[in-house]
Amino acid sequence: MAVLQMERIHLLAMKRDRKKILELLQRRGIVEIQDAGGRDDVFDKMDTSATRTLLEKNADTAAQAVEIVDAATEHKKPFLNFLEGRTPVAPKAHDDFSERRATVLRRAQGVVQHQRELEEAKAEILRAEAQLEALVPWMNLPIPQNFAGTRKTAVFVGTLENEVSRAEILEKLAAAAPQLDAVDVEVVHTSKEQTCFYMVVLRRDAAMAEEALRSVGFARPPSPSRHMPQEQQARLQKRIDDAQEKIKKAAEGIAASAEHRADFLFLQDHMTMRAEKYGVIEQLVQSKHVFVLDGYVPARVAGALKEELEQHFECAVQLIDAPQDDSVPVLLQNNGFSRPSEVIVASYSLPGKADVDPTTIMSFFYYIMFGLMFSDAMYGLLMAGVCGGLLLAKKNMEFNWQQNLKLFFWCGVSTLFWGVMFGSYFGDLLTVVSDGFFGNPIIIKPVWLDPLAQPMTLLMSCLGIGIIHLSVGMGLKIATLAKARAYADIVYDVVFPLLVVYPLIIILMGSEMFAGLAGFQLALPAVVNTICMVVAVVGVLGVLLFGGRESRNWVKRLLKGAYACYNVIAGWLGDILSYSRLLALGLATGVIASVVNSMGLMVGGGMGLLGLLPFVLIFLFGHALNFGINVLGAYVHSNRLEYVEFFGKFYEGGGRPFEPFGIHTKYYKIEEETQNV
Amino acid sequence: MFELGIAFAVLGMACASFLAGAGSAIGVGTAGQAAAGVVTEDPTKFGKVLVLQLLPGTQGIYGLLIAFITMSQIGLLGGSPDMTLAKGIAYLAACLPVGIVGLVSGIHQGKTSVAAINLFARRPDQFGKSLIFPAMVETYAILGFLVSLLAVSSIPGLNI
Repeated sequence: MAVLQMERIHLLAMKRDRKKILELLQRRGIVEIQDAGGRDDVFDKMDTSATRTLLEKNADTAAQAVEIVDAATEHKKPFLNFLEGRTPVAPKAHDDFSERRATVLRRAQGVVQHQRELEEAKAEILRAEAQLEALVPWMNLPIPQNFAGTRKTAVFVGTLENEVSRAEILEKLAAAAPQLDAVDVEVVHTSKEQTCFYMVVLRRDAAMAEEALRSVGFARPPSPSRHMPQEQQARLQKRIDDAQEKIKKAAEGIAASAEHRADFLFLQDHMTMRAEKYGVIEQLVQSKHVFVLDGYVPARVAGALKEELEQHFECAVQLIDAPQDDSVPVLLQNNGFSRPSEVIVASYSLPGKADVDPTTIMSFFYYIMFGLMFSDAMYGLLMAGVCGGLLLAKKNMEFNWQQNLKLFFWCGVSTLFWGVMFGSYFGDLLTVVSDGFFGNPIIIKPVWLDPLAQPMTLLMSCLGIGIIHLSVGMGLKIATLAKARAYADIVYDVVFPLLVVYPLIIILMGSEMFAGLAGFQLALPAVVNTICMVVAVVGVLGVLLFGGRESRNWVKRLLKGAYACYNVIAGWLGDILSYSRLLALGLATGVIASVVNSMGLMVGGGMGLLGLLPFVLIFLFGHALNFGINVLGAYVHSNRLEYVEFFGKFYEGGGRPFEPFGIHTKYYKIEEETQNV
Repeated sequence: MFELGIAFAVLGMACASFLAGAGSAIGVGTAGQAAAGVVTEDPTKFGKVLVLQLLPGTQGIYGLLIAFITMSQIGLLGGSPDMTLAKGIAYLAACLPVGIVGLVSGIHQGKTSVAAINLFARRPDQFGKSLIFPAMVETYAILGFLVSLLAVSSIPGLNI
């Protein structure tokens, strides 16, 4: 209903109370901290970025520890987990935890360390296994792979590509180095890809032999070992065993920490909270013994907070009415019915300094238009039922989820209403089933009209809703201008345009064309027509003369006025026609539902009662699809009508959201916090 | 000549569904590529980019609706599919707005969706606004759909 009045709070307190005061403010969650200004000889600011980085790192460690423990114990998140909300704890439990946090942090770091060791050991096993595999062809080698020879001989151990025999190797060598005599070659292993061998030559021939080998494509083993192959194999095996032992130990360590999962979660929250607190400390100015805090607090709770602070601490609290400008954060206050749609307003833009809070009025139209576009009684019942049920079942749900579900609950109720008006219950399900399977059609009559049979009547009604919606927007424009005391602007920007638009609408409704479209004739007496004409001319003159009133040059002013006239007429025409989407999307739901039902009947119709089975399958799939598509459509286009057509008439936006210093945790909430603003 | 009437009507029905469907297919396809890119960077955004990807999908549905209503009116779904040549051509003409506007707006809504997905990827707090840009394009598909719908549903009453 309104934008909450904010007060500026200045707090001057002793530094020794800083921790306590900040913790109190954090738990209350009602003060947005501002930068308390510059430094001078006495006052200075603290750089807490190093501490914050450390705290954030610790929070991250805790998060990692939870992840690791969860992966190890195959912890599954329960279904609809996000609706459970944070676990409430008493402030005492949190204070107790502060004493244990070092232990818990060490334990979390231990888990992360274990995980690191585990991963390293796994990599080690992979490496050792690869080496073992590479060693297999060399098992018959009677010397270590990197054996270079004796005093008199040189030894080369290595491979040639493809399968080659000892004779072929000797032949190749002879061709490459004819002077080389005293050569011995022993093949250890051959396969299609490679031949493993070693060669002994006299040491003085070593250089020549190496040259010859290189020319025939000789390659040494990739990582030659200094141990005998059997021994090397045993060593590798031992490395694998050791690594496996390490993995076992690390896994045991992780498993042993699994019982501390809750502590880790708490630790993460604790560190996040402290990081936020240190962020605030950076905004304070502090002297040797005192500190100054500056911020905004909603006026409604400001007095109580001042009292509480002054009662518990030696401090001076000053409250000043916040100035009326865009630097003041915006917090909206609405009743339970409209509050859920604050989020719709916020995702456009919060009210700026000149705006009135449009939420309440917007919410009515939002629900009505959503229902008109979704327009199936059973879909509405389903949506309202599921949202309502969840709201009742999960009391601890987070605030934002509650609001979202409430939004869709009310949209569902409206959908149910319009569905009954249009006689659509899963489309024409009852008629199709009773006729197709039982040969006895039951038709539920719409309470108001059948949109397919009388699309024109419905179209006119939708445009009528549009005219009302837009007019309410103009009403809010009056409120906005009145708030700014710009009474002349009300006449120029609201009254004159409406004097153009309304008479034209009435004339149009009396015309032959309208009668042809709507199917009934509005018998307007001729005098009404004349009056309307006169009024419209007055309106046009008004807009023409004052539409460009900011220009001093009269020629410019009249040209601008003429353009304003065009804009009023074309703009309203476009805006009103835009509401035809209410009809289009409403029809879409009903017709797709009927298409699904008819398809089900086509498949299952000929088979008697047995045909109900394929019918049900098609029904479930088709209606789920239709539900999804049309919820999306109704949501998007309700938003659009509010944002573009409605807000376009009066709303500026540009407000800054109120972001109080508080407890922004993931898993636990401290119970006091519940006194939300 | 009577046979030609129904042929034109079926052609109209086909145009409504295949032109609008093709527009949606192109649009959803283009947007899907951008959406997949965003999800590779941040899988938690899946739900919302999916919504943005699906926005150009409605043209196909409008086309299907017109096709279905035409089918049931010309008696393809049971009944006697007899009509004059003039009526058949009238059906074809009535189906064109949803088909052609669906094709063009589907393609462009897809491009706008891509831009909206990029917007959302960089400024996740601006999801509400990112939805609106593609929805603007859809207005014209809705207008085309309305014209087709009103035209198709008034043809049986014509004395031609």
